[in-house]
Amino acid sequence: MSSEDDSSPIEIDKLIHEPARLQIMTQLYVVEEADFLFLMRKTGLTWGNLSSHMSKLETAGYIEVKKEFQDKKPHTILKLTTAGRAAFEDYRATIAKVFEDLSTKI
Amino acid sequence: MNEYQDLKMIEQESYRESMQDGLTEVLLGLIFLAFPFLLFESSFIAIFVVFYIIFMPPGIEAFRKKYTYPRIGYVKLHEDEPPKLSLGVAMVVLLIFIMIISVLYGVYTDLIDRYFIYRWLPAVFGFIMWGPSLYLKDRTGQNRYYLFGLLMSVTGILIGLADFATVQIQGTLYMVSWGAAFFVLGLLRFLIFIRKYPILEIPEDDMNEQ
Repeated sequence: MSSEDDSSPIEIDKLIHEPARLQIMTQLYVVEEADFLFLMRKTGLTWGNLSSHMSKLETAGYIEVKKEFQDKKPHTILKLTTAGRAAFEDYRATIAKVFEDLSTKI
Repeated sequence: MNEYQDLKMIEQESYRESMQDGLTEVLLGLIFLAFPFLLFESSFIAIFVVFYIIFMPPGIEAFRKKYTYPRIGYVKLHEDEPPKLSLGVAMVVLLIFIMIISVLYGVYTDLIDRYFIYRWLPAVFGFIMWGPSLYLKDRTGQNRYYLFGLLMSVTGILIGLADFATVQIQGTLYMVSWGAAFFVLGLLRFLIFIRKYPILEIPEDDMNEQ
């Protein structure tokens, strides 16, 4: 009934799968780069939350964090790395496959 | 609705967000206001107009750093990839080049009445503006940007049909009217923007900890 491929467990990138991080990754995927304030507004996350998720994504090598000063104030710019972009695309493909499999089973 | 469309919509929303300060309209208005000098003044002023057009975008960006980004944040959108040089693109470029050369040759050898060119320049310009109009429709997802190309084309034709003392007035009137309209619209959008979004204070200590 089911092939070997069907029975193999689907691996979802849990780092991206977390809702807040998924929001951050999605926002960064559609733009070249964005700063902390823009992402806070778009995701509705608090400064602390965003900062914590940013650190996790940066550690995983999914985002690149650039820090600079603007009018003597710190300014943090975030950008998806090539690895992050590829991971997000893989994640999208995996989720699409999950739903595709579900619809064929129903 | 598929996933690609969802991502496209998020991208369009980001584009709309970055445009809501009205400064693009102000910039467009200022360029249109400067255009008559470039087109119809063969004097020394035209050189300054070229500098003005070149240095205005960085000026607007510096202004954005001070007034826009502290309010809504900074976002840089993906640059559009230049079209790949295919045979079709090369043929279109060659055709446009031949047309421009033919018109210039016609004007300078009096085969084409230069006043005829001046008269219909606004209409041609209006049709050219369909390019930015379609581009903005695609980037923002808002149909109202079709109106921009439509109105500029229609007013270009109407101004070409009207009779004025000199044909230069037609082009100047067209550019100055649209320039003033864009400038005022942009200024109004900017005033609404700064009222709607106050400057958000950055918790600097948190930033330094990152």
